[in-house]
Amino acid sequence: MLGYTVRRIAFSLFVVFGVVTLVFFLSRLSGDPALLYLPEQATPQQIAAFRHQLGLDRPLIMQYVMYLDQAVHLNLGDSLRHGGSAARLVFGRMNATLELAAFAFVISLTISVPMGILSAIYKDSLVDAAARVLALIGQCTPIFWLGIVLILVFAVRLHLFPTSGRGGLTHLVLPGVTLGTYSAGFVMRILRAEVITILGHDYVRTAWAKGLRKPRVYIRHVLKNAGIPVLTLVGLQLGYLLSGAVITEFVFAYPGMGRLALAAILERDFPVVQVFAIFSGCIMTTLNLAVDLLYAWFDPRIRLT
Amino acid sequence: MSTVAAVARPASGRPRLWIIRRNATGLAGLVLVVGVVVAAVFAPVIAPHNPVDQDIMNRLAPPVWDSHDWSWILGTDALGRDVLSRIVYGARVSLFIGMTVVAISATVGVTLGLAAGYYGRGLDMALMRLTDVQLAMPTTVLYLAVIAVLGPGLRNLILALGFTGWVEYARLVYGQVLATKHRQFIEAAGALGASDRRVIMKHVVPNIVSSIIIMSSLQLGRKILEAAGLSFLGLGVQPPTPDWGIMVSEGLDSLERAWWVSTLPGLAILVLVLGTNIFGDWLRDYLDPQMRR
Repeated sequence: MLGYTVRRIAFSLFVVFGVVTLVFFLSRLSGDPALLYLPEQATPQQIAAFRHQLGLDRPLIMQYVMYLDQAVHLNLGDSLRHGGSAARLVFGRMNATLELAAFAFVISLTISVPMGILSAIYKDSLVDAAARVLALIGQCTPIFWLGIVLILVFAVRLHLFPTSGRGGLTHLVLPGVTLGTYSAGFVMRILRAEVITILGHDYVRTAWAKGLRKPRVYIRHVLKNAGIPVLTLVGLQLGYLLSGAVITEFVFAYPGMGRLALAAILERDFPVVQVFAIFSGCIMTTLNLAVDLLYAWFDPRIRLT
Repeated sequence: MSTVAAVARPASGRPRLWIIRRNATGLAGLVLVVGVVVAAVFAPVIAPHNPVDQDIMNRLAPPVWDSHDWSWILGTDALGRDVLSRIVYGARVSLFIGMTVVAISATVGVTLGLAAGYYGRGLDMALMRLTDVQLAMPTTVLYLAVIAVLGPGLRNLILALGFTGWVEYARLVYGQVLATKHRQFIEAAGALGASDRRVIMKHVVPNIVSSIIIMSSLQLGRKILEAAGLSFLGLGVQPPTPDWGIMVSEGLDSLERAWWVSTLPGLAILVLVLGTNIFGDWLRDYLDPQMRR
């Protein structure tokens, strides 16, 4: 396990390094990155001075080394709009986004796990058909549209939940359901397929033959084994939740880092966008690492490959 | 249809029924997609009004079931533009973006995947590490970063979606080429003196083309959804182009008074994406029977 853990951590560090590098080359795509870091009304003299200060008049490889040095020290420039460190600004909003994503994740599992299992156990029944249709619709619904419909029905018409902002649990319900729906459909479909495969295995037949009761067979033998592959998907889902959080935060005016980044794009505040991209990459890599280690802990065969 | 018959023949009547039902689902998906394609192609004939013409006197006119006035079947928006006509024309924008993005992603991804899989020589290592890095970035975050650099707009939206979607194709093709490369008919072709290009085009590609078709059909819906999301955020297609994502966001200001302006274009996105997904699933089952569950 130790060797595997070390290898996985090394790989994650490489990925983080790759993400930082990717963002560097992206910022050079526009031709002159100085324009990305300066307000639009900057004079040619200011631009020239800034280019020199940033080292943009040096060779690309030197610029890259300087950039890596800044990234390691989390010194990725100041926000053009808010002043102050862009990293600190984004970091301040991270909690709100993680809170939303975690809540959406719980909602997603609450819907998808029972639905996936029932759908597999009662395969080809009416329950199965209904669950599959719901899952498909959940996956095809534009997340921003679902958010608007939920606001229209539950906030505007029924006054059950607030339309926007961040506060207690009530503020999280509508954005959480919005964000959790897509991933619920996805997890449900995978879990269903997995449970169906496992139900056909010999050891399940043996469990039935031993005369075990239904709950014991389903929970001990089926669900425990189906849970492992589903766990890897959880990693992918977290990435999706971070992606979807940008749109959800926009619809519900939720003060997370996605909304901050979005405003930064429209205000041409590139340092903030850059930090947001690097942070998101790091969060996702860390979560993937955690999932991989958990997976290896559950299933020792993984460590050998 | 011979494949369907061949698959349906064994066992009792159950698989046969299953195949028919499966085909019916596929057909339903196809009908939805064809419906949207017809709307896109014949938009000038179908749309009752010009999609960008404003009628200030009839702002936020309700749909026919509320107003009983057939002049604006699905109502008008805050500028008095006909919602139905904008939805019909919006089909063109969505399909164009979706197909262009899939074409770019597939071309780039398949080319890189083929090269890495067939030649190896460190290219495979570099490519796979690059895909690892790109997959570590949440997709929307990646789009935001690209658009932040290139600026919003239709062309940049297509570039952002197209040049980030190649990863899935590259991984798929790479794996498939590795699995195919050492099979005897490929080695035989090489032994007979066929050039690399001939081996790839005549022997490798025909064996992986169905996987690419499946991947493209499943990616189409997702890319249409993502493009609509970015346009909704104001980062993609710009007004006054009748795009479904923009229409949803334009209706936000009048949401409480005129629910139809935002919700109906969103429904159009749902229908198209549902159609492409159902059809894509069916196509996968049809072309790759092993995937059936």
